[in-house]
Amino acid sequence: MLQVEDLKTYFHTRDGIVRAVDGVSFSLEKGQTMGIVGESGSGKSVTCYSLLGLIPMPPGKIEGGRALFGELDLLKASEEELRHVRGKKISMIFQDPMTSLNPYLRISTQLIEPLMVHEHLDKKAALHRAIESLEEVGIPDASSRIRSYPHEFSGGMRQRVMIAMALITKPEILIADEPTTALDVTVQKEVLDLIKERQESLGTAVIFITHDLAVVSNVCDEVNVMYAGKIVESAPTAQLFKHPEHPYTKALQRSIPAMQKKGEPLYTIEGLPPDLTRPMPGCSFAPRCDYATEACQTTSPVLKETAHAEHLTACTRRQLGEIELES
Amino acid sequence: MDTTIDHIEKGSSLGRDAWLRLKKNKLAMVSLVVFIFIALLCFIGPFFGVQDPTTTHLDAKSQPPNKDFLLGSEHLGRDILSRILYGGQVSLIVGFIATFVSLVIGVSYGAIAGYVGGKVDAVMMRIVDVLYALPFMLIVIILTALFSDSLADVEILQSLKEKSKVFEPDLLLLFFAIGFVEWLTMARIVRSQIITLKKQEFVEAAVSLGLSHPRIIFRHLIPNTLGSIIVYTTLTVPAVMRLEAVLSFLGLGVKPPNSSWGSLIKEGADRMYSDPWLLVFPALFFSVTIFSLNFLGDGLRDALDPKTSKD
Repeated sequence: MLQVEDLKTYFHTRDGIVRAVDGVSFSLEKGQTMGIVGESGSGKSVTCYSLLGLIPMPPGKIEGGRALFGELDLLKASEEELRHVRGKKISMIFQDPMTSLNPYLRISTQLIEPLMVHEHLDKKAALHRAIESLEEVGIPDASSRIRSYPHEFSGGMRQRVMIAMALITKPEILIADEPTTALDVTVQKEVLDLIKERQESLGTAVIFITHDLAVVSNVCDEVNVMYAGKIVESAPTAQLFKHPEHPYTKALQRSIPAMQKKGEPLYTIEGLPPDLTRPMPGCSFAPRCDYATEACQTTSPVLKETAHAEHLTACTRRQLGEIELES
Repeated sequence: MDTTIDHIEKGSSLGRDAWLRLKKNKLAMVSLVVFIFIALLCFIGPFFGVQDPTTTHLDAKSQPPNKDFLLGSEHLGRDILSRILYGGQVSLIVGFIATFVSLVIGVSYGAIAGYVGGKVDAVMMRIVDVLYALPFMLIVIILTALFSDSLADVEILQSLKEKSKVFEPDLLLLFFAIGFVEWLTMARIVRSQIITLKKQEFVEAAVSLGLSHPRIIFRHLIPNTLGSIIVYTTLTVPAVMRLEAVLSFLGLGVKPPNSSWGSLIKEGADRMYSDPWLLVFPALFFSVTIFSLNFLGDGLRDALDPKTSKD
């Protein structure tokens, strides 16, 4: 349904060209949930923003690639074409529900906007649908709550409203950009369950951007691990957790506090992510990798299948079978 | 279900909400009543047997308030009350039309510059800088010189002039000239507000929902700046009235024997030691109007912010 090939998004800043997304490819099937995991600055959000044309240009620029959504290449689509895709066929929910609703407009006004713009419903019909959609995301007493302003809702409730708003037009793809990061731990699970539940009843595909591996294991069918603007590993979720095929994924797993022994210092990955303004000849994870050799610093790795056909890794040494990674 | 929908539909406009909240603000409501009272006095009062504002009574020069001249008369024996009321028409119309002109131009211009940003913004704001640097008087004089003849030929304006005692085609130029100068600050204020606002996530969310840019500017961003717009507007009205007084003094605005509050205050100030009522009464009308507008503006700002509501 969505086919992204070799997407490159660069930012032309005063300090040089930041290669935020550098050759990312993936595909998304109908109804599938795909996770994109990575640390801050790995390019996971930029990847998705590029698809919807939400990258500020300048300084951002899409340097290459294709993103076929049906017949339409999202990267080459006009602003007008994109506007018909945004909010209608591909919707998005954002990280911080406290700031992603307009504080000056009632929930009702904001909820009916996509319906009035995309489906040309009149106000009355749109309000009917809006109340229904609020009920569907579990907001009690929806027909009176819809008159509230955003500040009258709690964070979790606002995120529910955001989900209702994103799904009100029954989009084919929902992009969730760290939808639970800004929420209370107790509310996080509720919101995740809600997204899963709504997705199942609407048949929407979901791209889940997160840095939380626990979230991934909960909701995603398939996971792409991103590092320094590239996908370094891609696999079905269970497979990835059982047999990580990239040292970075393994290191990430080892950093989950719940998986570590009590009383011992937490495991952290040494060093910092590379400076994206300076292109590296070899593997971008090599400077922090426990397994790196001279060759890793100089030859650039390629994402390739492993013994498992759906499992791709960009670790050259693993591809050659030189190292074993146990989770 | 349908009745609830109707209920929601009716109650969902910002204006209606604001009105409901404004009604609870006593000071603002009193100000509104006072303001409406003054406006009615100026526009309807003259029909109820006030003296002609331009007729001189040389036998009753410089009279203090008495039963013939309720608020006294001036050095040519013209009735102050009627001069204040007719002058009020000019001042209020100038105040509102010029403010409205500056509001419409300033808000749209500033919002577009701030939202689009980049080179467009730079060019648009440099134009504002240039206009700022031009002497205001020069603009008004040029405008008057260029258009006053052609305005005199417009039939509607002529018939307006015949119907109303105070209206002159030149006044129209005054409205636009003042509005034309006053919008610059408004544009700067709105632009800076929009620049802060457009980085917020709700704007990104609005884009991701497929809303068009004009819709985002006018439905999402400008309502968020209403607070500062209103406060600045209430400052603009008196500033405009003051400008009108200055221009009238220079013979570019209201010409004697017609009056405006500004020109009356100016005349009164010249004679404040011998005939204090000439200054006191016009100044009283002027200040009460400005005060009520300021309180009303404050009330409106609070009323338009949904976060102040407790219902």
